[in-house]
Amino acid sequence: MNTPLINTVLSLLFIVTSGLLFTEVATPFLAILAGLSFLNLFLGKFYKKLNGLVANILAAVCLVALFVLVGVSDTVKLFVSMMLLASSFKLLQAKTVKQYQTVCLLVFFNLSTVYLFHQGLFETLVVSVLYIVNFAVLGYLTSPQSFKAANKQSFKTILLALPIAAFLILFLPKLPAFWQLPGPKLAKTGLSEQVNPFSIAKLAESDDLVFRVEQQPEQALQAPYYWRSLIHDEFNGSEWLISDILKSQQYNPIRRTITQSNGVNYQVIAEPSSSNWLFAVGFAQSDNSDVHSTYNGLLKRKGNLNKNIKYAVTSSQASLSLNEFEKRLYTRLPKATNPQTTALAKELAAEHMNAQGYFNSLLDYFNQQQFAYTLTPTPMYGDNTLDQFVFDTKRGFCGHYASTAAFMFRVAGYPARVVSGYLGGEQTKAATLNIYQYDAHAWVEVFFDEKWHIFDATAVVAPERLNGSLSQLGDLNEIFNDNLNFGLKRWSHFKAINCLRIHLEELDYKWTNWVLTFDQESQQSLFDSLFGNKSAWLTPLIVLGTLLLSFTGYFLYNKRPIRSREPLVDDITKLYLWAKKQGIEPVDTNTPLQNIALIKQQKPRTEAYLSEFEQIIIEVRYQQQSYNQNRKNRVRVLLNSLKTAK
Amino acid sequence: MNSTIQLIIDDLSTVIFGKQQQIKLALTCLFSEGHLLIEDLPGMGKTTLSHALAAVLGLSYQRIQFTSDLLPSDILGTNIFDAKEHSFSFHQGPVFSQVVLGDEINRAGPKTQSALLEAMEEKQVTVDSVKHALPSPFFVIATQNPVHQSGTYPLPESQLDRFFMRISLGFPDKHAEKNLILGLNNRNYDDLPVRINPVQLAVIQKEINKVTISNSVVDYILELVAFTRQDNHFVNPLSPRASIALARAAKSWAYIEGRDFVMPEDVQAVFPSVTDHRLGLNTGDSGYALKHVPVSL
Amino acid sequence: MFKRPAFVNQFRQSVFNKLLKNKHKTNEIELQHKTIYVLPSKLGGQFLLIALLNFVMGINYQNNLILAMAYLMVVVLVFAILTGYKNVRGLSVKYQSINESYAPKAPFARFQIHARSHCELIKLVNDNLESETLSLQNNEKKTVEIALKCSERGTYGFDRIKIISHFPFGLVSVWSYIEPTETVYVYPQPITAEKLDTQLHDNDEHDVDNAQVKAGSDDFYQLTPFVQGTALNKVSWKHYAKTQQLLTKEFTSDASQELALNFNMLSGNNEHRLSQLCFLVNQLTDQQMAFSLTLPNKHISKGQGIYHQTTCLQALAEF
Repeated sequence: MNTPLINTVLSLLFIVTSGLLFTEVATPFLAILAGLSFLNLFLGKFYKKLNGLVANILAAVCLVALFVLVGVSDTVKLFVSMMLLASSFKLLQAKTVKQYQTVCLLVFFNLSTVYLFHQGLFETLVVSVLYIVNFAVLGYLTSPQSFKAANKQSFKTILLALPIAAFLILFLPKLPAFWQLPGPKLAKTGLSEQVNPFSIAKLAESDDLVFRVEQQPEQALQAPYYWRSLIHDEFNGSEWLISDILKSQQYNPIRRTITQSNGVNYQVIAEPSSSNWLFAVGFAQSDNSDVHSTYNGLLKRKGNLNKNIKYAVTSSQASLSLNEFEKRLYTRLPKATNPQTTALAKELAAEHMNAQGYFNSLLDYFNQQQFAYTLTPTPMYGDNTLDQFVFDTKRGFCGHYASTAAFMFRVAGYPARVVSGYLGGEQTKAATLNIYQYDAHAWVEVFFDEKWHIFDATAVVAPERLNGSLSQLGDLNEIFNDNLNFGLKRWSHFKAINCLRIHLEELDYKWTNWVLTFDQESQQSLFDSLFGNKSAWLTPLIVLGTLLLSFTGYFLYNKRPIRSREPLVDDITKLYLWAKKQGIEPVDTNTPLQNIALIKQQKPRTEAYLSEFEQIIIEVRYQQQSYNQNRKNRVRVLLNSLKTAK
Repeated sequence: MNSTIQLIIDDLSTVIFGKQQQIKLALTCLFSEGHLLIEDLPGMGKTTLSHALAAVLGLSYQRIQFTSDLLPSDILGTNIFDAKEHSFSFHQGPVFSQVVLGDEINRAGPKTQSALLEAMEEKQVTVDSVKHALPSPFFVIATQNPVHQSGTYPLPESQLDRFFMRISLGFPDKHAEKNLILGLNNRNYDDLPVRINPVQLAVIQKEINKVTISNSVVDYILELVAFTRQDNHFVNPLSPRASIALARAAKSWAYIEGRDFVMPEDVQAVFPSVTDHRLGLNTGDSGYALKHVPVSL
Repeated sequence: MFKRPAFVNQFRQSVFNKLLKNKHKTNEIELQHKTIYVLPSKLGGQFLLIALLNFVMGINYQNNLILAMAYLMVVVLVFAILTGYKNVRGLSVKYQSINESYAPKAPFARFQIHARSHCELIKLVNDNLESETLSLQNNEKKTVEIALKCSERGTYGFDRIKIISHFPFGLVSVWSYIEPTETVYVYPQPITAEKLDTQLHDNDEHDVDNAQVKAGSDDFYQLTPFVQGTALNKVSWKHYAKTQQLLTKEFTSDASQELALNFNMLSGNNEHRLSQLCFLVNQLTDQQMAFSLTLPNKHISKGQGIYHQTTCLQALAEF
């Protein structure tokens, strides 16, 4: 056993696994894990292992570090980190083949836990490679072959097993979750429940995909797309929050005002996220079993499943009336904040008596007073941040404008709320939109004329923002790129890179659409399309039957007589087998001709055939003449005639 | 079958009754340019066969009766002082002939045996550090009594494999023995017609070299040889020299049978004669390997 | 470690015997459908457990990728079973021989393994004793040795030897048995015979034989140190006179040394006597002397050579 090699490979496996969890688990702890692996690499080079006491002390220290750095609040992360730590220590102390095998088994589990956090194409690819390597290590541990050969064998086996596993995924009836486990909390930035833009100096944006939208060509949504996600209805003087009242309203009975026929239908594929809020345009409802449609026309994930989810949505611009309670709710304001803005709002409201007029005058105000859109606003502190923004800095992003506008509507007595979600989307192909994290947006919904109207000051400050994604915005592109973390997107002005990016995008879309979001419902519809309605009993039967058939096939394939490379040998074996069935036992220490003589003696009728067979044996086996097609055919005929001659 | 060879066999069969197989084996040995050892009890016709063989092949032959007091110089020759020329001149011993018939070879002492065996191996004789080449072709046909007979010095195992083959005649069947008693056999083996001359012999040997031996047969030989090396039934496993001899003998046998290719049957026919003495087996033990090694198809 | 009580082992043994039906009581076995047994190894069981854990995790998080990994692991295990079966199928194991062994050394049995097709990582296991692990190419033959568990003098039946392979990945155990019908002889431990006087000599030793007469011709083979029990007329008195050294003349084919070894003539308990006899048998054979052996229950007549030696030693082991 080549211990240093196994040590090195397993250590590298752990390093890569830790790397995959980089964004999820506390970095200092990952550093500890990586340190352990490097220690392993180092010790492995010298065939050394940690001695018991040192290992125990180190383990205790690491365990403390685990609880301090990872914390106990997120049990899933704690569990995953603990498993990784335990496996690393097992490797540190592994000496015998058995111990290394245990480490390999643990790796199989550790690798699967990566999928709890990432299911992207890239991560899947990396994890798959690690799987193959791990199988190779397992094979290499007990076999004297080279590591390269072990890898080859492992690769071959997995390649062979993969279609069957895929088949099982497709056809084994999907079980519902046995019990609810705590979901892993992802580090991905999303929308937050408070909108407080004023203390932010620089908007950190990421180009992570948030969701995709598949539209039906005949029912396209109308741009601009305001993807609603959260409603903030309570202003506390500096930030907009979700009130407890609104939170409780989620569970009110849904007003079934829209059906698939009077709304726009489309599909959303949401990426995993730690927040439960989903995305839809306008007042939306979904019949998906994993999605909860709320009273306010928002959609929410059921449970805490961190996975891609695909749901069908029906959206409409529903007309509804607010009751008195709701009107009060949406016009509530804290007393005596932002006096200047309050005064301005009252002044404008006095000039325009009707709602539409006030709505337009606000737009005009933002348009004419040299307000500017920026991703790097000046941070503001203190009580009257809105005043500072309106009369002082006049530079801000969507949050600033939405906060201000909603405040001003409420001052004038119009029900208003801040909505956060996403704006726009990148058209990837005909009917698909990609919405990225940097498309996050906040706007105002204001109620008048029995309807919620979208008020978006950004629309007048930076009108380009309304159409298409932020990434396509000319003026802001530079600032946008500065604010973006590294990614292909940053280089999208290079044609080749952009092309590559779009192809990867396409691939990732297919991966998400076909693999990750394959759930009970998709399976059911697959069954229905394949077997019709009888699927209840037919499906498991077909699955079992196919599996049984393929394994039996493999078994029979293995059981087939081992063919000889020498010419004619298989035919002689066949003859012997035939003789055995006739009750004549050929002796293996006899030459073929002697055995044939034996058969001839017992079955005189076959003599003519056997004599010819003898002649061919002599020619092919002893005179080294070629076993050509002619002879092959003759032999086949002879063997067949034997059976009829008896 | 080659008609000349058939004639030879027929001629020899008039001398030794009912022993066609042994006659063919003896011819196989001579065609393979190997020395022949005939082992059997006294009175079985060993000497008769050896003499008749030499006679039909038309080769010059000398007979040496080995006794316990025979000295090496008695068979190799010796340097004798020529009084006229005042010098030593070499007088060739009986070994200087194309066929040497060594009767009861194991009755002589080891030194004498060694002298003959050395001559067989090297095809030359060294006397007083002068080398004397032996004629060509050079065959030794030796006979010996079974080892356990008293008053014998068994040939050392290390030298036994210089004999290409060892055959034993065995008792004649009833019919043959009856004819022997009635005196129907040809006692005058010296008068047998010469069927073949040394040149023809050389041609035959060349043709034997051309006999095809297929892979499957070579595999069979290898299996047999490997078996003797693995099974502890055998004291002395077969050497590569033995495997070469086996192939060569099988070819000769096939030629005598009138074929230009070897079959596993040929290997089986010659196997006991070629290997028994090399394996240190008694003659009765022959065919142990044949009974245990499957024939490659 | 937990030790199984004896009756469990006995029960196991009897169940085994019932199930195996003497299928493996043969000197040569070809591994075929009926004689190959396949189960996941201990590691395979743990592997399955991990697959199950993955499955539960995949179900609970409704995560197709984790589920795929769980299925993949199960499928690989099934493949491993099939591959493992294929690996040993057509393998033939043949008992060859046992080396001569003298107590207290346990003998080694030699088996020849012949693989018709490529075969990986095969080894023989006899309880806790293992042979080396072999891999064979197409149509290759290899010889493998394994220690047996008998170290005391006597005769034994063969142990049931396991032919096992954990190929591939160590996830499965594919095994069969071979139980040769041969008898295992463990010869007594050779102990130098302390006292061996002329009593041992058979009477017919004085019979005149020609080899003895010929010895006068000085055509002897070598001089060896005198061994007790050798006829005095073989001693080279010339040497004794010169050097006071007792040397024995040996002749190339010395058929004259005929000795009779007799169990009853020796002292000590049974084992001790057998050990001495064992020593003598070996020594006399080395010196190419003929001898006979008399045991209380058996008589082996005069003989010489390796076969004779084996017969005598086996008789000693059987006693």
